Amino acid sequence: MKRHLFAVASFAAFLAFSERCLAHKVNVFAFVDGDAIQIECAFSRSQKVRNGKLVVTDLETGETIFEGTTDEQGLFRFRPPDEFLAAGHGLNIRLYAGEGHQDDWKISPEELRALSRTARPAAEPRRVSTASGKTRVPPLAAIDVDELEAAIGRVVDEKLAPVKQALARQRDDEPGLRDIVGGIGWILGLLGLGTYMKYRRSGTP
Amino acid sequence: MHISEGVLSPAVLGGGIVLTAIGTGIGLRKADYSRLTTAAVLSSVFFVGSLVRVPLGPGSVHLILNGLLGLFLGWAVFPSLLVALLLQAILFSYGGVAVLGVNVFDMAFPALVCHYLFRGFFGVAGVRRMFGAFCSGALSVAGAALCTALALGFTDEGFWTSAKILFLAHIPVMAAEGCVTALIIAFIAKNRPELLRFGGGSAKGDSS
Repeated sequence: MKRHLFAVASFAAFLAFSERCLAHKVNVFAFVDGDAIQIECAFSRSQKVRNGKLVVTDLETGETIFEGTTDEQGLFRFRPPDEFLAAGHGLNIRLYAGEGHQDDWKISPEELRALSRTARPAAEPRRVSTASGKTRVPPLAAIDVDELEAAIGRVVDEKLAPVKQALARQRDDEPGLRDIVGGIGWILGLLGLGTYMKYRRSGTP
Repeated sequence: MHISEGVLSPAVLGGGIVLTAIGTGIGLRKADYSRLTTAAVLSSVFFVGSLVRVPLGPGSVHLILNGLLGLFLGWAVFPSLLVALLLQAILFSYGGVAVLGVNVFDMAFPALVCHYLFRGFFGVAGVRRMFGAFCSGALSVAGAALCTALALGFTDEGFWTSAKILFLAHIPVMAAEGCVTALIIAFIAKNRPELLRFGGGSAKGDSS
């Protein structure tokens, strides 16, 4: 009975912890998505980081500006405080996935500028009152530049979302055949070198 | 069990580099160049082994095989693992170059201990040999988990938490690893028995 209990307990422990312990590496990928920053964390394409700890720091001062935990899909979404955005600094996102697994992702101030612009609440199209009491939408030429920028920003974000997700997935790729064959080639090369040294030392051809 | 870059303090990283350098130095000095090919083949096996996932229940485990390397190579397990882990760090981004010393020591030291503990078990065929092979495979993984937890002991996570989680998660890996090592030894004993002549004697190989 005791043996069965031990087997069940170890299997349960394996299910609970294996994901983080047996992973080789962990990846964090973040991008500006509309008015917030989207963070995606994964051990591999199929293994997402659940409940990974995220610490966001100011790239220049090193101050912590945000902390959070990833959800079941390894995702986290947040908007940096406005005071931080006003300072015009970049930020560093560090993921602590446990058992020695950690990764960083940096977002430059240039990339963050897009975020601060879209953050402005989208203004309602201005309505002009007419003498008869009815309102009408102003013609296109009268639209505010900021409104136009915000609208274009939203459309571009929408169009780029799949591209950004594809980039995130690419980071989670497992090693390819080229890497594996390349590594074995290196080992064979070192074997050749070792054999050459051996024969040179012993003086036999 | 590859520790990522930036997790450990410079003191732990430095300690790992020094210990691995000592191990590699001894490994190269004690090298038996006639077993160079064995070392290269085992290095390749380790390099690729961690990509082979064995399905187990709803999850999967991957092989580590440090016990197998330790058994055959003795001290030369240090240079062999150094080469394999360096290539994994460069080509697969597993671990990192700065943390390489710690990662090599974590895997190589328990394997070396198992080599000296169990090398006397391989003289005669039978249950004793299989037992030695199983224990080498399983205990090398347990030792690697313990060493990794020790290295992580100086981080926020602390030794006990890391040790508990790493050890529990690796119980199935230990079993799988012990079985695979025993199977490989059985296969070699049948087909190339001369390779098993490390029982009690000097069993050295080397990777350049």
